[in-house]
Amino acid sequence: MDRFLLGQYIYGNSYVHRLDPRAKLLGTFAFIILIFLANNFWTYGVIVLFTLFAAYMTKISAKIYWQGLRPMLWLMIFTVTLQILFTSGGDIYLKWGIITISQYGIINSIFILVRLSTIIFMSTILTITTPPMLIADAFASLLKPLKKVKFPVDQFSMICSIALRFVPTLMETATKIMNAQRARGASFNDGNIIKRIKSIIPMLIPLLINSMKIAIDLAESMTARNYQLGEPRTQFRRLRWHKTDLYVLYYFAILTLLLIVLRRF
Amino acid sequence: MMTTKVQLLTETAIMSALAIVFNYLVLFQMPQGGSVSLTFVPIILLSLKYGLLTGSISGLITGVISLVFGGYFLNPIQVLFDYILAFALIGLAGIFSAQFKKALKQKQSKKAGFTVIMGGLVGGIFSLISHFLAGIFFYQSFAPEGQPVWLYSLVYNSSYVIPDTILAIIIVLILINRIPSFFIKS
Repeated sequence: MDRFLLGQYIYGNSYVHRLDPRAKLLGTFAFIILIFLANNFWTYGVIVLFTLFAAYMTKISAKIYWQGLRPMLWLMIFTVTLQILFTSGGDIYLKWGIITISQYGIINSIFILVRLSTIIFMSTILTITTPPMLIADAFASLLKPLKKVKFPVDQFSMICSIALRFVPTLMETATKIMNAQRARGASFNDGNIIKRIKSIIPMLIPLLINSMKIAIDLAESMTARNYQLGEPRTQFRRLRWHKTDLYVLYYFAILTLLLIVLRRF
Repeated sequence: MMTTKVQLLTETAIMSALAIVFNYLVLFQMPQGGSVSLTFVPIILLSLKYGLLTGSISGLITGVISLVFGGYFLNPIQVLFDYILAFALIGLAGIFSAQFKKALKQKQSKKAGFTVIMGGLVGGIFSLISHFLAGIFFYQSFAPEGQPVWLYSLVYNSSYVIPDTILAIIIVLILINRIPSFFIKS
C-alpha cells in the first residue's frame, strides 16, 4: 500500500533529496536528450561516471537501484541479444546461417546496455528522491508558460493533486470490496473468460458508486470553502528555487559541453 | 451552476485516480498469459458522460501520474506517445458522447450500445496507434538495422491494448444497463 502513497520515494536528506523537484525533472529530461549525443567509448564513459556520481549523491544503497533496473532486465537482455546476433560489420568472430557475431555487434550492444541502464538509473534517481506529489507540482509549475495560450494550468494541477491524493484511498476501497465479494464466495481468478468478466461487475459497481460519492462530497466541500475555478490560489507546498538548483543546471551544461567535445574523438 | 463545474473537476480527478488504480490492479491473467486491466473503463465512462475534452484531460492525467509513479522514460518521443498521447487519445471515445446521451435519454439501449462500441473502438485504436509509434521510436534507437521494428511494436502493444479495449467495451455495455443513472449529469 505504501507504494501507492509514496511511489518509489525513499526518505532521505541527501543533496539530491533537497534539490528543487523542478531542477530534478528538468535534469532528467535533459539527460535523456543528452544521451543521444554519446557515440563512442569516451562519451559513454562520461555518461556512466555522471550517472554513478548522481546515484552516489543520493546516499541510497545500490540494492534499491538494482530493484529499479530489474523489471527492465528482460527487455535489456532481448535487445542486447538481438544486437549481438544480427549486427554485422568490423571483424567477424562467428558466422552461422543468419547469425553473425561481429565486432560492431558487440560494441553496439555494450553502448545500448549503457544507454538503457543509465536512463533507468536517472529516472530512478528522480522518483526515489522525490515524492510523487512534488513531481506533480514540479510538472504543473513547468507547464505555467502554457497559461499564455489559455491552457487551464491551475485546474490541471488541481485535478492532478486530487487524483494523486485519492489513488491510495481508491486502491484500499477496491481491495476491500474485492475481499468482501470473496467472502461471499466470489472468485476473480477461476472459470472461463465470461465468468471472469461477470465477476468484475459486482466489484466495479460499488467502486464506481463509491467514487462518485467521493467526487460529489469533495465538490461540495470545496464549494463550501469557496473554491473558485480559475481564481489565483496560494499553495501549501511552495517550491523554492535555490542557488544549488541552479548549479544542477550548470552540471548539465558542463556535461553537454563535454559530450560535444568528446564525441569528435 | 458553479457546483457542477467544481464537480466536473473532482469527478475528472477521481476517475483518473480510478484509472491509475486499475493500471496497477491486475484483475486476472488471461489464459494465454498476458494480464488484463480495467484502465480504459473510467476514462471511457468519463468521455461518454462529459465528452471529448474531459475524457482526454482525464486520460492525460492518468498518463502523467503513471509516469510519476515510476514509468520508464527512454526517450522524449517515446514518453510523449506512451504516456501522454496513448492515454489522452482514449478520450476520443467522447466524440460519441452526444449521441450516446441522446440514445440513453430516449431509452434506445441498442443505439446507446452501438455508440459505446464505436467510442470504445475509436479510443482503443488510437491508443494502440500511439503505443505502436512509441514502440517504433523506442526500438529504432535500440534494434539492429534491418529488423522489422514495426512488427515487434505491433505484436507487443496489441497484446495488451486489444484485450483491454474489448474488456472495457463489454464492461461499459453492462454498466449502461445496470447503472444508467451514473451517466446522467446531476
